[in-house]
Amino acid sequence: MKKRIEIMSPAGSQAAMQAALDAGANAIYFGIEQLNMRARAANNFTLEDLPRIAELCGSKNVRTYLTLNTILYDHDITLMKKICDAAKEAGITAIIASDIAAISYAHSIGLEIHISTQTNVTNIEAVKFFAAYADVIVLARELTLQQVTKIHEDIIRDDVKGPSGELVQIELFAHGALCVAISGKCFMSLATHNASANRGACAQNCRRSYRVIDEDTGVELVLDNKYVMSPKDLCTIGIVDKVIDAGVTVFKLEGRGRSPDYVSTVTKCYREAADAYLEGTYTEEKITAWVAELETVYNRGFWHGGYYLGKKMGEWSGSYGNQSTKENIFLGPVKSFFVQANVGEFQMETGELSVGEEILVTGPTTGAFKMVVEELRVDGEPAKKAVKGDLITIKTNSRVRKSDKLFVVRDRVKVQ
Amino acid sequence: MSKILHFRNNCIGCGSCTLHAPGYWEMDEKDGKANLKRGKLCGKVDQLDVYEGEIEQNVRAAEDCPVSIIHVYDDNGKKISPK
Repeated sequence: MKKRIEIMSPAGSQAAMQAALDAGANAIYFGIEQLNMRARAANNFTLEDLPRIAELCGSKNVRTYLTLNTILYDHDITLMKKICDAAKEAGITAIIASDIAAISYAHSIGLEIHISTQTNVTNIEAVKFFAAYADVIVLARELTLQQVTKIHEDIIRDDVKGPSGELVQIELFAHGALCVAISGKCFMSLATHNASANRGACAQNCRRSYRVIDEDTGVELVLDNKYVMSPKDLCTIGIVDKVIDAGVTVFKLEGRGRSPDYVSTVTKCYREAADAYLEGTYTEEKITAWVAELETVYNRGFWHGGYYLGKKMGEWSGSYGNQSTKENIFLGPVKSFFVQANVGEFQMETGELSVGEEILVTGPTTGAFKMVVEELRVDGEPAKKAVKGDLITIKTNSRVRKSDKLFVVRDRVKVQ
Repeated sequence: MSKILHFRNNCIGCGSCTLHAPGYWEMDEKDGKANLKRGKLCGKVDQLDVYEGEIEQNVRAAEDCPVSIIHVYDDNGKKISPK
């Protein structure tokens, strides 16, 4: 029997959600209000958005997961219950929770629950405990694949079933940022900035470079990499076969703080990789192409396989922030779209664009789509190049909208 | 008068301000966010006029707010926190 592999994509904004839907995600996850791990982000959804999200995703047969996975204080309980009630009423598929209070309440009203990686489930007994509440459990990102495999085997052996009566499913983080600490247990940001990672306010100070100085002598230790606490990003595109064989049925892609084109690219690559393995066409050539494609969007360098492949440590980022091979350079807004001709009109507010270059158009309804410019018109006349101030038209592969922005996608120039 | 501003919409409900200046801040159990006691809502921002002697503990609350939504201004209208 063919396994069903669910690709779960991050939706930190309306545009990212649309990008995930267009790229073939089976599920999206998102946060509302302040009780989620991206509480600091400005563009979280609100309670009022829930019915629209459920309806839009439901119409495409895409599952919706609401992150409600911070630790909770007494003063949060009313809001937590309100969110759970609203999620159930709107028809959201499930919440992703870690605090017992949220798990217990959601269970009491018959709302489906996924156990968050923040709960740090690392063994079969913990799986059995949470199986009373949840059909899907996100295992800790710090496990090895052997440990994941063993937990999966034990779920089958001991017939560990969730509330639905089906065997508990394993969800695993497949791609994106890793923490220096065990997920859900980091105190660093709280200690230095009073900004608790476990309340969704991580200041990400682990991502900076550090020096180690002996205070007695003033001697500084020579480090080959000052980013001693910033792991590279997890990438499992090269071990998708092993991850599926380990019993994982849900591939979770990290990145609710990322852009729509990141979500689009990562979703597409993992969708293709999972399908390729199930169809028997998962090859080294394809893996190489997927890795190259993943490198074009935000990354801190890749730690291929992450902790899952064993005890190989020391995959530290080596530099601050993004190491993607491509960058998106803003050109201007969409002015209008001519439906019958499939032509978009753009105002060049800055920069230059030439025929043959790749563009990205992104916006709340459009999501993110890329295409190569084959034909370009400036003020209605064919042209090879457009510059700042020009009003240009381009025949586009899909509809663009007034709220959208136009970018040119170029190779990133590395600054040494 | 000195002034405290609270951009309440972005509060993540950590409760830190209520520890530093309990006379001025309390947690609202309805939505889990902090309230500026006696504050008046101007647009989307809560405001409270205070005397200079009331500033110190509110500056500590502002400095420790993880999302920097508490702003404190002195008598001359100069922002003194967050820096």
